[in-house]
Amino acid sequence: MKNLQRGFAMIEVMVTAVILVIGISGMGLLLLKSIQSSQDNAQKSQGMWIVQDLAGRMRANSEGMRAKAYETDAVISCDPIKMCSDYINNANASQASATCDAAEMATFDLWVTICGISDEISITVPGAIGPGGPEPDSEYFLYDSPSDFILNPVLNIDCTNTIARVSTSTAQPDCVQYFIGLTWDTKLQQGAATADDRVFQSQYSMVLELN
Amino acid sequence: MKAQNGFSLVELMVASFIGVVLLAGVTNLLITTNKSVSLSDGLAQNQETGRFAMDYLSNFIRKAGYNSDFITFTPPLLLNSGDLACPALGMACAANNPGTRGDRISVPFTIAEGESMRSCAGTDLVATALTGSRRFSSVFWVNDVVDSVNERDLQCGTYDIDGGDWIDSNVSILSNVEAFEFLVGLADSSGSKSASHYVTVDQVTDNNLIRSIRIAILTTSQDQVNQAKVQSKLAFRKYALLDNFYEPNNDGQIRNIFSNTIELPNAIEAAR
Repeated sequence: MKNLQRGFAMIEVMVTAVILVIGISGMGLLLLKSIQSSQDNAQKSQGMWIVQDLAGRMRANSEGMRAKAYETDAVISCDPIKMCSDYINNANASQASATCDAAEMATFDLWVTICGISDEISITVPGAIGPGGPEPDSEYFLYDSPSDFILNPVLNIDCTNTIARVSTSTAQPDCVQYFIGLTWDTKLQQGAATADDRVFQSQYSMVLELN
Repeated sequence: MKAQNGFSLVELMVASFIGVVLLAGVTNLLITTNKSVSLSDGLAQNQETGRFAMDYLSNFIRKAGYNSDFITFTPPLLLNSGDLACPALGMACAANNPGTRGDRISVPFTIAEGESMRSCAGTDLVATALTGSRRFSSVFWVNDVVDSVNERDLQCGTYDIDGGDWIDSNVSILSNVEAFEFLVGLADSSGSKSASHYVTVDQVTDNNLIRSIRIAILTTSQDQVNQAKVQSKLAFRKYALLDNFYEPNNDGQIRNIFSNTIELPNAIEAAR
């Protein structure tokens, strides 16, 4: 009796393996995408609350709002500022707050929305001096505001409507409508050539009215 | 009898080598899937908790000081002093960091005769002709009893100020809230409608000056995320929540901060 059994040829096996590898790496890419979208989603929700929070602050400072104090003409600088609120600075006891006028309150509101209390997330703690010389520095990451969870937040606020009434110390017509836009950097695009091209921007905006 | 032909040693080696390479790829994929699922879950849990908590709290806090008769003033916060002194039962009062998981907020409102409103857990609150107008307060806090089933639950109670009794007490609303903090926006003078500074509730002496409330919560994921692999920086995170500092155990959970500022229409309207 003759043996008629034939196995796979080597080339067949190799081709199968290559196809499998391509399939698996496709699934890996899918995973990456799914993580990116869930992170994107979380950031969108975060962005929405940041804008809501600011809208609440603006409504609570109606005088500053009518006086156009909330318009952002330039990127908000995260240098220290007059603090109109109790806060905690880097695990120290909370600081007493100062009373602010409407314009100062507006500046503070914008500042705290974008910068949080400390702009830096990464904080280095110098190592203690041990018996064998100084110990290595340690580092931790301080999250003190919702804006710390999104990348490079930028606020863009414009007064879009004014009425004839003049009720603030600026002697300007009252602003009754604002456009609030918040943009931030989001997921990276894999295929782009330069680092700048890889960044997408995500946005949340709302129109805020008052009388 | 037929001579049997098995695989040669070379064939076997090559076959098992290819098998091992494929298996390694598949295993790797499984591990990555597992990690990414737990990361996505953690993110989603935080988002759900945060969104619900903020919606729920904002709704109730916005009603602070509600009173439909527009004549008598209902203060927007139940404090130890001021127009509406807090009852002897301390649990019904607003307090700054009474426990380890942040503040307790208490927002009073008045129901006029014949009106009906809901308590924080959905019970009907009715003021009948017999009782006249009735004052209640919604109280919210995070349970800090260590290792209890309800630890890290956002809890609420509705206190009947005129009746001196709880309608709902210690009702768990949702879990996975690490801490709750709030600051009170105060005006300079009782005539001003704008908040001029934000302070902790223990510094509020005159509840005619309250204009807004800023709340913040620290949410946490229920499931642990493998921080060593997924996010190496997760272990070194600390959180500052308004006026308080939180250093969670290195438990590999994703945390998130949500905040909202709520202007109090009733208090602003009463400012004259």
